[in-house]
Amino acid sequence: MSAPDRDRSPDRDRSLEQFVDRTLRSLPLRKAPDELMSRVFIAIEKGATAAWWHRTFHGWPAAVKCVFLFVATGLAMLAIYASALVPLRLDMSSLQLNATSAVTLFKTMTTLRSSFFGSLPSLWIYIGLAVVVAVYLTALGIGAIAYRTLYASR
Amino acid sequence: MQAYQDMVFSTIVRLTGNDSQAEDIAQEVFLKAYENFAHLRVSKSAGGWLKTVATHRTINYLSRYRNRWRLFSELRRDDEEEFEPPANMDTPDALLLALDAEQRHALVERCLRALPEAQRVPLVLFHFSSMPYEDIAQHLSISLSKVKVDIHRGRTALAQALSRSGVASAGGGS
Repeated sequence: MSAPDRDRSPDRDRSLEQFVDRTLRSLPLRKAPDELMSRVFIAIEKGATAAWWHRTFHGWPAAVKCVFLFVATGLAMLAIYASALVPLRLDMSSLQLNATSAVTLFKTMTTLRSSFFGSLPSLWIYIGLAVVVAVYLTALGIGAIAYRTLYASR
Repeated sequence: MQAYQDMVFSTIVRLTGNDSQAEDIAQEVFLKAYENFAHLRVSKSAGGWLKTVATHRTINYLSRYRNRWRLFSELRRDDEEEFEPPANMDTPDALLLALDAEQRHALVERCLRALPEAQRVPLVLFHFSSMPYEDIAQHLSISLSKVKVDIHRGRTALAQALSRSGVASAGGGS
C-alpha cells in the first residue's frame, strides 16, 4: 500500500467521500444523442424483417423450435445408442505401423533441418533472428500506437 | 423507451467514459427492452430494470474490452497508475461554487471521464448506482480491498483534478 493510503485520516476520508458524493449526485443526466432512438428503431425493423434462421433461438417460430428439439433429441439418442453398439476393438498392428511412419518422418525432418542449418553461416542465422525480433517489435509498436491514437482516444 | 434514454445513456457513458461506445451499448439495452416490452410496459420498475441491464451490459463490455486490449491498456495506464495525491489536499467546494451550474457540471463530467477506468468504474457504481463495496467487487471480479483502494484513489484524483481545472476555469473566466 502506498504512503497516502497508509496516512489516510478517517475525518479527511469522510469529508472527501461526502464531497464526491454531493458533487456527483448533483450532476444532471447526460442528454442521449438524437440519433440513438432512430438507430434502435432501425435495428428493430431490421430484426423484424430478418428471416427466422438469422435470429437467435428465442426468435424462431414455435413449430421450428419443436422440430429442432425433436430432431436434436433423436440425434442425441441415436448417437448414444450407436456408441453402445460399436465393439471396443483396436487394431494394434495398424497403430504400430502409423507410429513407425511418424518416427521415420520426424527423423528425416531432423536430418534435413540439421543439414540446412549446418550449411548456413552462423552470422546469417543471427541476422535472421534479429530481423524476426525487429519485425515483431515493430508490429507490436505499430499496434500500440494505432490503439492509442485510433481507439483509446475516441 | 424515449423517457428513459437519457438515464440509460448517462449510466453507460459515465462507466465507459466514451460517447460512441455508450451509444452502441445503449442501443443493445433498448433492443433487449424491446424483447421484454410486454413485461416492461406494465411494470412500475421499468426504469430500474433498464438501469440494471445498462450497468451489467456495460460491465460485461468493459471486461471483454479489457481482456482484448489488456497488453496495450496496461502500457497506456502505466503513467496514470503512478499518480499519488498530496496528503494535505482539501476538497475544492469553494472553487466549484465560484462556477455557474453549467460550467460546474461540464467540469465534473470532464474530470470524471479523465479518471483511469480502474478508478472510474467502481467510483461510478458506488456513487451513482449506490452499489455496496461487496457487490462492486463481485461484479468486477476483484477483491474487496482493491475496490476500497480504487474508490478512495478515484475520489482523491477527482478532487485534485477538480481543484486544478477549477482554478484554470476560474482564472480563464475572469
